[in-house]
Parts: sequence; C-alpha cells; structure tokens
Amino acid sequence: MKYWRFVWANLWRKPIRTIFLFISVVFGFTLWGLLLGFDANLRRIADSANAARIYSFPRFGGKLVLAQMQPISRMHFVSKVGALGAILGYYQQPRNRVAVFMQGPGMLEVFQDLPLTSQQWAALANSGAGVFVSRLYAMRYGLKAGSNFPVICPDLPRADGSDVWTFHVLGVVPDIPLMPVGFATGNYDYLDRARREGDRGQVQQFWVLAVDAAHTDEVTREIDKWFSSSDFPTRSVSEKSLLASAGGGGTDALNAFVSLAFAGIVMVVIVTTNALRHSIRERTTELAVMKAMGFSNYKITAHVLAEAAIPCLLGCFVGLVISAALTAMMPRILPAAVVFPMPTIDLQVVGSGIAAALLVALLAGAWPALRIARLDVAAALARQ
Amino acid sequence: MTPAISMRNVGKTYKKSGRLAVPVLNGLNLEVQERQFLALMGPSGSGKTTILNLMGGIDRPDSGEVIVCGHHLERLTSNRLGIWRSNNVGFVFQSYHLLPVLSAAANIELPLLLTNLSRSQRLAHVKAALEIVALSDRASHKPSELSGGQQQRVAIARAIVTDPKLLVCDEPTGDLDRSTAEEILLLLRALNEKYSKTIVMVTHDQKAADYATRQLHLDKGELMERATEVT
Repeated sequence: MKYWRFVWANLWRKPIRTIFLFISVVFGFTLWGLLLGFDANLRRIADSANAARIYSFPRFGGKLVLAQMQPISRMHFVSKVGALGAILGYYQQPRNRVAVFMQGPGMLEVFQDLPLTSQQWAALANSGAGVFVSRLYAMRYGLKAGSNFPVICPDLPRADGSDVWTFHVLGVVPDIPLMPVGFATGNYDYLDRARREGDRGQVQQFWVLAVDAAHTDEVTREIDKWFSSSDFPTRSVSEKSLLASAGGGGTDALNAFVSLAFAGIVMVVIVTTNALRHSIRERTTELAVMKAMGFSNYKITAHVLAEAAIPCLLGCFVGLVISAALTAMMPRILPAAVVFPMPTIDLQVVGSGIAAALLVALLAGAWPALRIARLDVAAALARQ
Repeated sequence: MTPAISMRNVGKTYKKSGRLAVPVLNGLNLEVQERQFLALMGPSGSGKTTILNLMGGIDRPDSGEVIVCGHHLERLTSNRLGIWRSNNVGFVFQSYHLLPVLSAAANIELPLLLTNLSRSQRLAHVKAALEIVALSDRASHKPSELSGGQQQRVAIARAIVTDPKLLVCDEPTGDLDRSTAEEILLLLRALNEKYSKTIVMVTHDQKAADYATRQLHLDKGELMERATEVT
C-alpha cells in the first residue's frame, strides 16, 4: 500500500493518455460484458430445457387440429399432451411484434414451468379475454394488471371480422429462460370461441411429455409416423434438441459473440501496451535513478504491472457496470422487433472479466517490465 | 584507520557499438578515508564518472577490487548490490533527477519505501532531511515549482534521508549559477563536517573542488593528488 500514491501519481503523469487508455479499457469491457452476457443467457436457455418434453408443429406450414390430441395421448411412452394456440401479431405498430400463447387442454400439466399459480390458471380459464404478461412484456409495452392489451393480427381475424384482439391484463408474472424475449399467455377456449367458425378447432402446437427423457426420440418418431399420411402431418422435435439447434443456429452467433469479446480485449491489450511502452520510455532515467537507490527489478516490475493493472481493473469494473446497466435498459430502449435474448451479467461474466483484466495487465506490462529489468543503470544515467 | 573506499587495481573497458573496446581505467588504485570530502577532477572522458559509478555500486569493474564500507562490491549479486546501495549510498546527480509527478516530500520519501519504517517514521525522516537542506516550507511543492538550487537541495535531502555513510555526487553544481552552486557546496561541506558523511564529488569546476578536503586529478587513467585550498 505504501507504493499506492507513487503508482497513482505516475498514472496521471500524462492525464490525456491515461483518460484515453481508461476509456478504451471501459469500452473493451463493456463489450466483454454484453457479449459474454449474451453467451451466458443462451447457455442458460439451453440448460433450462425439459429433456422429456416434445413439440409437434404442423409440417409444411399447414395446420393441426385439436382432435389429434387423442391418438397422441394413447401412444407408447407418452405421459401427457397439451394443445397450444397462438396469436402472432403486433402491438400498436408492426415493429412491436408480440405472441400471445393461448393455453389449451392439458397445458397445465405439460407446461408446469409456466410461472402461474393454480389461482392464476383458474383466473385465466374463467376470464375470457384475460392474459398474464411477463415482466419483459410489461416493461416493454408499459402494461400492468388492469391494462388493455390490443394485439393486431391480420392473419387471424375474429368472428366479427375485426383483426384486433383486445386482451385484458390480469397480472404480471416472472420471465422464464424458455421464453427469453418475454411472453403473454391467455386462454385457448376464448381464442377458439372468438375466431371465425371455419378456423375453430385448430391449434398451433402440441406439447407432449414422454414418460422419461430416454424415450423422447421414440415418441417423436411415432407421432410423425402416425400423422404422416393424414390431412395434418406433424413435425415433432424434443425441446432439448430444439433449443440445442436454436443454440446451434445460434452457435455461430455464440462463437461470433465470444470472438468479438476477445477481439475487444486484444484491442485493450494493444492500447494498454502502447500507453505503458510510451510511459516507460519517457521515464527511463527516473527508473534508472530508482534502481540506483536500490529498488530491485522485482519491485520495479511490480510497479509497472500495477500501473497496467489499475486502469485495467478500474476500466473492467466500470465497463461491467455499464454493460449491466445497458442490459437492464435494453428491453426499454431496443425496438420490440429485436427479439433476441437479453444478456445476463452473472458472476461468471464478472469473474471472467476480472481474470481478463489481470491478463491484459500482465501481457501489457510484461515487455516494458522486461526492458526495465535489463536496464543498465550507469548507461541510462550517462545518456542524460 | 580503515578506508571508507578502497579501489585496488581496477580495470574497466567500455565496448562501443559492441565492437570497439575503449579502456577507461587500467589498474587504478584509490583509497578514500571515512569522513573525507573528495573532489575528483579531470577532462571529459577521463573516467571520473566511471570511478563514481564503481564506488556507488551501479557499475562493476572488469578487474580488480572495489571495497566500500567493508563490502567487496564486485562479489555482490545484483539484488545484494541493490540492497547495499539502499543502505550505504546516496546519489546526487547534475540534473537532479527528481520525479516530476511527486512533491518534494514524496521524492525524499522514495528511498524510505525500501525500509520497514512506518508512514509516521518515514514522514519524520523526511521532515528532518528537509530541515537539513532548509526547505521545510517547500515540502508540498512539485519539482517544476522549485528553482534549480531548490531542486538540487531536494535531491540532496533524498540522498541523505536514509542516513547513508557515503554520498556520491556527479557534477552537483553543473547546472547551477555561481551563488546557488556555492550554497549547494556549503551544504555538502556541512554534511561532511557536521554529519560525518564521506563525500566523493566529480566536478569540472576548480572553485567547486576547493570546497573539498581532498582533490584528485584524473588524466589518462592516472590519479594525481592536488594540494587543497580550503575555501
């Protein structure tokens, strides 16, 4: 600690250079926090997958009907089946894309990770146009319990010819990793009653629970085989493989995030090394005088590394705080059309940031420290 | 009486551009007694600063022995030599070499950071050193806020703050005007007489050398004693 004032004073020898260095480090670690935050969230989503759950979608973009539930529920290794409707439209402006998932028969058992209490499920069943919205939706669209939530859906007209589905917000519930961009959830019966007669009985997806994770492949094959020659063919996929492939489609994105984060850190290494190199070169005589006084190579190396570590660690701290603040603000400031998962600044991101900051300091300080260690005191003083 | 400094048969050659060898000292012998104030004079390139560097332990001889304060410097490792310097030698340079980012007091405190003294003890030492050089009222000033003479006083305070036995001064008045130079030389003489410091000073200036108790002239590797006229 007794060297703190000395190290700090040296950092402010050229204030503009130090400020520029600090800003570069802050920028690098803001990028680090955001990009690794995305990475952390995508991994969290993949980890949250229910290994025994299967989704059945309409194959070739067709449709499914409620009557298909019966044969699915009778299949081997099927534990439970739920039917899900969906209203895919927008709120106020086309860029505000929203999806309202309408919970049909069986969904209470199949989708137990939906954060609704039994009272809220009952309220949903009894309320008609009532919906629960997640916190992200509530924050993004300014919704709260009692708000009206009109969703415009030209592809799904109501029985009265209107394409506006006006929902009534029953409450705000927590978000879940499975739906990282937020959600609204309503009652399938209301959807079915309110839409045109010809559309009734259609569902968007079936959610199927296998008896255990080991039998999901068998069940997906059996469902698709059963309906392959029917009017409503299915394409079934387990939740785990769906999220893995979404993450797989996203693996490139994931790698891009991590690569970009590291590119930012390489930039920080270059800027820090350059700043330190200049600083040390300007102070060769002073460092020679310190060595003449008896400062060992170890002590001077420690000084140089401390001069690199202080802006790196402070910049890392500020950068991570900014990335956490941006993460909290993103749902409000980003257009609703942006539907990728928000970053999560967790302990792993913070820990990796601190480790990266220390590594940057070590890399940036190593060469100048080596030069100082090799410095010939008599020769350096003679040059003056 | 044991000499404070004893150089025996010392040789030193510099290699310029890695090829051309320039012999500077060849079989040099010199003894400096404790509490002596020695002025070392001679033309440029005669090896005065080399002798000073060898005595101060910031350079090593190619041959011979350099014994200072009872230690064979040529036998010490770099780390041991650093520790030895911090305990036994104070350096005063022509260009002061103060750290511009630190105040006068912080500059003086710098060598004390190598000791185990507490902060309050270090501050007490700094205060005492500032009093000796008569700069107590400039403790918080940065070097850029001080005159050349004041900066050299701070440099002397930094050199004596650890209470070393030996002060090596390389042209300490080279950058100063005559009256300021005299103040610095009187201060060095006081350190020699009142605080019993052994001082070795390299200078080109005969008037500066006259403040010393002993004068040596170095030319072509040969040391010649000169009669001293005390100013």
